[in-house]
Amino acid sequence: MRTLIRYSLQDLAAHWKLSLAMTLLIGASILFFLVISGYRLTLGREYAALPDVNLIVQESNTLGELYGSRIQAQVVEQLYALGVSQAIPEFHDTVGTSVDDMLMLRGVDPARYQTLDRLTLLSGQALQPGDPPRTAMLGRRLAEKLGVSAGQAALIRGRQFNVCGVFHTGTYADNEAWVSIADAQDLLGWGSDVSLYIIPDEGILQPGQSLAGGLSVARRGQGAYISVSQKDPLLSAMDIVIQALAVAAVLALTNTLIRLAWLRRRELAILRCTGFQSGALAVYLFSQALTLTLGGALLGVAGTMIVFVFLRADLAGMSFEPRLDAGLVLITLGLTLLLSLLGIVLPVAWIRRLMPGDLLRDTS
Amino acid sequence: MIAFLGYLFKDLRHDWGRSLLTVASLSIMVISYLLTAALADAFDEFGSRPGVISHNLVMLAADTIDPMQGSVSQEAFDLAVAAVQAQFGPQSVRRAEPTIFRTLRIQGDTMEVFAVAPVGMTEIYNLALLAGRLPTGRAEIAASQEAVSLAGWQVGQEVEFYGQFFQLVGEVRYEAGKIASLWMTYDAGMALFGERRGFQVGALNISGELDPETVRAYLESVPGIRPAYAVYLEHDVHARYGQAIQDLLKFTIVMDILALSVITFGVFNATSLTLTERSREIALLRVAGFSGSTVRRFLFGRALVQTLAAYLLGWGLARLVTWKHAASSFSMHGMHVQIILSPQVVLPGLVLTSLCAWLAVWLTTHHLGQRNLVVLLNE
Repeated sequence: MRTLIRYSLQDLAAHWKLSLAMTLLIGASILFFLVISGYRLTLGREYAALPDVNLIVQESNTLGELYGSRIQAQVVEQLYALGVSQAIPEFHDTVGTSVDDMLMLRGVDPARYQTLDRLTLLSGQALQPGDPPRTAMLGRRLAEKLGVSAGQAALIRGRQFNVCGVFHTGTYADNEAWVSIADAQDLLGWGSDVSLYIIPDEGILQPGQSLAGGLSVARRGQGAYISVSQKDPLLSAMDIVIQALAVAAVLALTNTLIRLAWLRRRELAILRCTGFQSGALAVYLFSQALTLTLGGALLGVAGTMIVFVFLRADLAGMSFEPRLDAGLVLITLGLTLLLSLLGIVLPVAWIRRLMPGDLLRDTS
Repeated sequence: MIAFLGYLFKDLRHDWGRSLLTVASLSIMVISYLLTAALADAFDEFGSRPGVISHNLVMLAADTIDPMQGSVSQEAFDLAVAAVQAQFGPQSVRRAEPTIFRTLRIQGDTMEVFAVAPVGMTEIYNLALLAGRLPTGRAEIAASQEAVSLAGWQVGQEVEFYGQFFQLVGEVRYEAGKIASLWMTYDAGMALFGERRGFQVGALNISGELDPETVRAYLESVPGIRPAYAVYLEHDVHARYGQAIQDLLKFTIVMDILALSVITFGVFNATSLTLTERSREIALLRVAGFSGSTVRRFLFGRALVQTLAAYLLGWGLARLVTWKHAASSFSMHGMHVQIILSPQVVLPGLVLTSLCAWLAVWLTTHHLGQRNLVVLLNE
């Protein structure tokens, strides 16, 4: 068996240009698959997992957790009158005049925001009640983008804010600047208006329910997900391409293996005559197929890591860092195995049909 | 030449099984390339199309990306109109209308909602009626053809949003817009959204004899306009949507390049196989007096025939996919993306794949002229 495998690999080495082209072809297909999957995975991790136990009350037909919702502070009285036990105001808007200089701003209640969101403070200290006006806490990615750290000043809508800390949530909130709700209202000239109220899900109001005054109830965390899920159809369209490339890779692999086997038909016939069964010859082909696809997978993984370094995604101000994880790499290895198996089906069937005696006569 | 072609096709026919396999695998690579190229083309068109160059100026709150994020005061708008008339003459402003603007999620799609006086719909925004009529009542709306297509609405039906039912009374074409839009009267907008936030867009239609950019630049220098407000050309406001999809465009272009590289490697692979299989025949041709370049021409002809056949087959299959597959037509951020295999997509692809075939043949045969014939025959 070992001899067969060594012989098959020597054959590949003898046709190194051909093997290289095949490896590159498979590598490019796997790269395509990994880039799309990496994007999808990251979007899922940073956006889809967000919906939490709370509800929000916002202006109808808006994605209030990003921007666009503006409601009066008196709505809180309407909510308490309905029996809601707690309503925490929040402010969400963007500042800037283009996608390039856009900054996502969140106004929070300094006394209560830490009960709503789990965050890790990377440096400095968290925003807290009693902080002087114009104090901001920046998400990790925003701090990197602006090149500021805790203790320094950051310009938000032309005003200087003292950065008290840098935080990390692992979600799109890492692109945001968090200030006190009073600062946010003052900065945007909203008076006492807020973007939304966060309320507990006590069964009094239901997601999707409309309230008087153009308000509606939604599950908290869905706004960003809805915004980003608009990219899903694009990824679905790319799925067609991935499927097509997988078929193309199998066909190209089949073509290559059959032709390599054809070039070595005399040697293969001798092996058959010396007692090697067609199953053993399948090992010969499989080791060639696996070498080519594994080489392609390695190139694909390396290429994807490079693509992800240079092609950081920015979806309307919300940047995210697509990356591979162990699960995806394992899936890729599984696919590599599947490609190899599919690629040898036809060549093995062809070899089984060959009569070694005829072959030896033909090639002598 | 005829002998050359005859020999070429005879060779392909003799090797029909493997030729077919090569064409099949290449054609599927071509499908991948054509689909990604068509996607990139769709985003490119959306991002770069300037819309119709109009003589409209729009006044928005400064430091906003979406006009709905701010408001324009009536005093500032009146000031702008008066300033233009004072500088460029009383006839310089043909019409000025305040417009309530919102970007809303309606039936799962992003749509722009404009509330403007009916006369403003035609005289400023230049809406062209495609079916029905323009809205006049408080519970009536018209929808752009993009909105009708995205939501699958029909004129005459009821549409619900922002907690209220509206009758869709007309379908319109808004040339300057890039995404789906709904239109209602200013009064209807005030009744729906309330008076508290006023209007978001001050729209001025200026005389056709004036240069819109000159008027815009002048307005921005008028005290009382800056720094609270910014004035844009109408098509520039819509062009800003193109920025939002720049990364998607980059992404699809990278995917397109990848798909093209797959074709290159595929053609290189097929040509290398041919050369490897025919090394003895090629050596015999060289011994018989054929030059290296003649042999290369033959191999290129063979690769080109296979590539062109694969391209034709791939194009047909890709057309089938775009015609039948649901994923080939979708909406994103209020724009309708249709994967279309236009000549701008298909023809450059054909040239590029032919170049790939040439490159692959050159890479595998460039050393042919220098090889020792004895060594070639022994191989």
